[in-house]
Amino acid sequence: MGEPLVGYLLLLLLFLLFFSVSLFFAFREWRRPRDASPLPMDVDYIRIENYFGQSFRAKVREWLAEPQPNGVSAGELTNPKHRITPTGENLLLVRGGRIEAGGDTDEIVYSEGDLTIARGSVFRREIYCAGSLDTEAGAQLQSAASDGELALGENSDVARWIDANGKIVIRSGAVVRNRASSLTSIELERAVLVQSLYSPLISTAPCGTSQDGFGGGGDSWPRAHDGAAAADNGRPHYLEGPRCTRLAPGTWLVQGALELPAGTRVEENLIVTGTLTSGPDCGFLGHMKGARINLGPRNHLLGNLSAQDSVLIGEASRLERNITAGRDVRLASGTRVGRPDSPAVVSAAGEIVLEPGVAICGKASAGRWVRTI
Amino acid sequence: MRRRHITPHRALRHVVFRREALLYGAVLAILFDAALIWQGSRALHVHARVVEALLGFSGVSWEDGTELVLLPGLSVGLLSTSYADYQNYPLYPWLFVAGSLAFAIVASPRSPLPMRPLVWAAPFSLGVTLFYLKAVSPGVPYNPEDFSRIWYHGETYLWLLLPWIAAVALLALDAPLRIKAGWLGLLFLYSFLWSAVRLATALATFHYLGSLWMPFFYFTFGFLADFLYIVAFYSMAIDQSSRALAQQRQTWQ
Amino acid sequence: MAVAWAVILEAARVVAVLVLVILAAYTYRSLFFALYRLFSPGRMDYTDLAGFHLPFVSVLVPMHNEEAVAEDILEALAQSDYPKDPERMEVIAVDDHSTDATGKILDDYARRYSWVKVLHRQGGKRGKAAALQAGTEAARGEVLVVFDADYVPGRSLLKFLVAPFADPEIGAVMGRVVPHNVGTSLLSRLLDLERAGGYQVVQQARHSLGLIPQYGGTAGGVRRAALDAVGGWDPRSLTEDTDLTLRLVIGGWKIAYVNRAECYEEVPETWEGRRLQIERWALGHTDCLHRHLKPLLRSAYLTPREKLDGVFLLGAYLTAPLIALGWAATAILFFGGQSYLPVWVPFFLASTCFNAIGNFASFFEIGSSALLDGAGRRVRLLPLNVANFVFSTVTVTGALAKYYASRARGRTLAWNKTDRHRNGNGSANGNGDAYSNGRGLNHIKARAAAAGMQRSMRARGMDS
Repeated sequence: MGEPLVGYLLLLLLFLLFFSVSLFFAFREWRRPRDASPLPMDVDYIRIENYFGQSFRAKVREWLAEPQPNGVSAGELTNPKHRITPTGENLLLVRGGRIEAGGDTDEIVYSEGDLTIARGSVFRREIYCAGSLDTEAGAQLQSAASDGELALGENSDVARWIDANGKIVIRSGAVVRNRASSLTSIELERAVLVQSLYSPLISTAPCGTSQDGFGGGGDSWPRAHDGAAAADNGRPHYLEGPRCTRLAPGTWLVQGALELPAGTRVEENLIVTGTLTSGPDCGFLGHMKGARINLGPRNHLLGNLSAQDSVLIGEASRLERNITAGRDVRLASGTRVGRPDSPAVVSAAGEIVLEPGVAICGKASAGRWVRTI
Repeated sequence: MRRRHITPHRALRHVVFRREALLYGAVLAILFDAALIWQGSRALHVHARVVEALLGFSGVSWEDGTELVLLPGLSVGLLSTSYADYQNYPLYPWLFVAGSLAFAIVASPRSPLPMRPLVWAAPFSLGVTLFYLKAVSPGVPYNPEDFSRIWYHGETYLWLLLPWIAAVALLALDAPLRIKAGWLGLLFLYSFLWSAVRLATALATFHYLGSLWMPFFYFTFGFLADFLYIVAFYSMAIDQSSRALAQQRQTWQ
Repeated sequence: MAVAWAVILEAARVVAVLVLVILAAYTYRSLFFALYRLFSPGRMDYTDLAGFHLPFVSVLVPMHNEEAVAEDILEALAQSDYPKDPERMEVIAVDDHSTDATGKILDDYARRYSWVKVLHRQGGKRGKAAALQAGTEAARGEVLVVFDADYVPGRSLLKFLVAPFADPEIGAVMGRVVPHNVGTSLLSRLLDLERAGGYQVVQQARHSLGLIPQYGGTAGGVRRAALDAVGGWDPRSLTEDTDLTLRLVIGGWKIAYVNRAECYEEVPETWEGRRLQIERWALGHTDCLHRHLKPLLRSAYLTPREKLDGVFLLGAYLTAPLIALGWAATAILFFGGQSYLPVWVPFFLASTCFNAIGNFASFFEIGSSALLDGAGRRVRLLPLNVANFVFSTVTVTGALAKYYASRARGRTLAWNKTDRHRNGNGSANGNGDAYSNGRGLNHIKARAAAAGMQRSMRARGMDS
């Protein structure tokens, strides 16, 4: 074979070599897979609203039950005492009492009894208090779990979560950057920021007794004008003007904005592509949706409320079911959301603003903050 | 139990958008394009020299062709080579078509299902070209120099576009600079060299085996091959970036 | 002859430009979706409502010769944390003309659980849509959740899926489908990438942008009132999911996509199985195009953006023959000496070769999904997707040729079942006893656990 042809064949080889570079890594991953498992599957996952607190407690109990290298068992607590966890972290065991001011603690703390954290202390790891936990003003915590009650002092800052079996009180100016959860109740003072809350009762000061404003049902509808009587074409009177269609039996779609006069009673589901505004003392039996929603004072909703943008709920309104907003939610004074026997969610992609005297049974979760004013 | 940071669940997370990262990518893309236009003639000169060297190595004679002006200030001297004359080798086209057809007939049943269309691509392309040569015109519309002209047009547009593809696909991410710069640099180097190797191989193939192979080369090893390596390099860069970003708290919300 | 050739050239030029514009539009759309999903926090996803909005759910599971997988899904539903009281949940398993032990398995579950009901269909029209219609007639729930028999819902999936129905405008909800048989073949790994791109990026982007996420016919739910309002399931349709999606949005309802609601599916492991699957999708989808394009464009309920997205959705499978046509036109132009237009057209054609055919994800969308999922090395398989692309293009083009030929002859199209792979080759085991399937759900869970452990070891550098 002539030399030039040999050269050409070698050029072809070079060509194939370069070509194979494009496919080499793909081929190698195919033939020698290093990532051929399914994505992490959580088939058994169930949502637990106070998951962080529960799992942390379980972990600490596990650590406490394990024998230490020097043979000291969990029952022999002196104050204070250290343990090393299986993950190599320091666990500080205390009986309870008061941890003095100015401390900067880099250990996980377990307290057997009630614990008070003094003003300005910094805790860079979690705290588990088998009794009640009280932080004074300006404390900085990572996370805290309490089997009793938990009080967060003024201007405290929690980097992650707090969880208590008993009541939680979050004082003015405190910040919780993740979840605050309680099996009993959560009381919020003014100027509090929390990312999300979960409890059978969440209230902002001043709050009355825990059951205030949650009684009754559709039978306690405010006195209404006759807003529900249908016109000859089957449309309720409040839909006479706007352009609307019946999507399904019991569901109306209104194109554009809708204003409902005071005392209107809406018995069907209502979807408004524009802004839905209602006057005082309106009642809604079905579910509502609008681009924006402004409900007047003393409105009563039995169904869910959804908005693509913001929701503004007027004073002393009652919402039995969930609120979701693509932007912000503001609950004016005296608003009640959910029921003790039927918790509900207030969910906003932006902010949830709670005025004084608001109570929610269930959960409040915001993309940015739940803020009290 | 403790993790340094808690990344949101994959269903709920997104990457934090940093305007400066996108700006940085856009600036880099503009700079690169400007550099390519300003100094591109030199780069293309090197490209042509590499092609010349490979042609010389494979025994293909060439002459200086026309100067191709791609953009103002960006030009390259084309190389003029020759086709194998089918009048001297009248059986060549039939042999190539028959050979590739025979290969496809034998290989196709043995190939995985998705590969079968690709196995048939060569005989199909060669067959269509043969039909053209016999029924329409004895020669393809382009001589090798024309082919080079089309080639340089396509590759230049691609090189001008590559920095923008990278700006969007890679530079906007918060991945370490070594990953972004590293893969981008490798991509351009490979693209440049691979382009020269392909062009040289194409011209050498036309020289030895004739114009029957021109459409096949153009359609199979033109932009298709370009995008193959773009996707390959992109996948490598994303693989590394993914692992780096997984560790970075500030990346996720 | 010269005149004819000139006409052909001109036609090729027009076709090439048209293909260029259409593919450029699809490319831009893919890029936009990927970037939007990657960097945007997205719209409200209703996840917070999971567990707080608990309507009466009827879970419909149509089955035709599903003895290999029937137990798995029923066990998974039994383990679901959705309240099992009679006014909250019922499962209606539809035994559709089965000739294996499916009916027997279902009857056994109905005896064990009061919330499981079985419908045996031996007469009437066959097919999933007809089975769903029968199941719907028997259902009492406010929300119908549909699962294909081979899907494995997680324990909390139902709560996540029904949460968006708190919004009265939502007519249907779709969850994310995650393959669990990844690694069994190259195809399953490529399809895993494709699903990830399609759900994690495309569906989520469409939801966040207020466009039209597609209801997928499984691992999803539909509001009973909305279904009735748009005329129920259409037994004529090969892809009742696409058909329903279009009818719902044309009728004023919205579709929600819940990325957090993950359901685990078995993807085809053989190319033949894959061929049957995409053939059906291509045929059904294009059939929907013919039936719903005009109503979509005329709908008073949709914004221009939604209509545009709908057109992209409906035309998705036409891109395959369009690409083939584009290559042909480019070849004609090439032979016609039109050397510069071919530079641009094959550029875009080539770019689509790792790209979307039908609803499948472009390479950029797959890469973005890999970043979001934290999936690393698997994305290196992307270049091999050219095989998937070529295969899909040829299959879809052939399927559409068949479709239009059938239309011309006035014939209807048959439904091809996708092969099942669990418990061997999907057929009954040797002794015919379908109850001895011990590999199903527990196997999937064990696999998930093993994969998790492997991941953890790799992260700690403990694997070799």
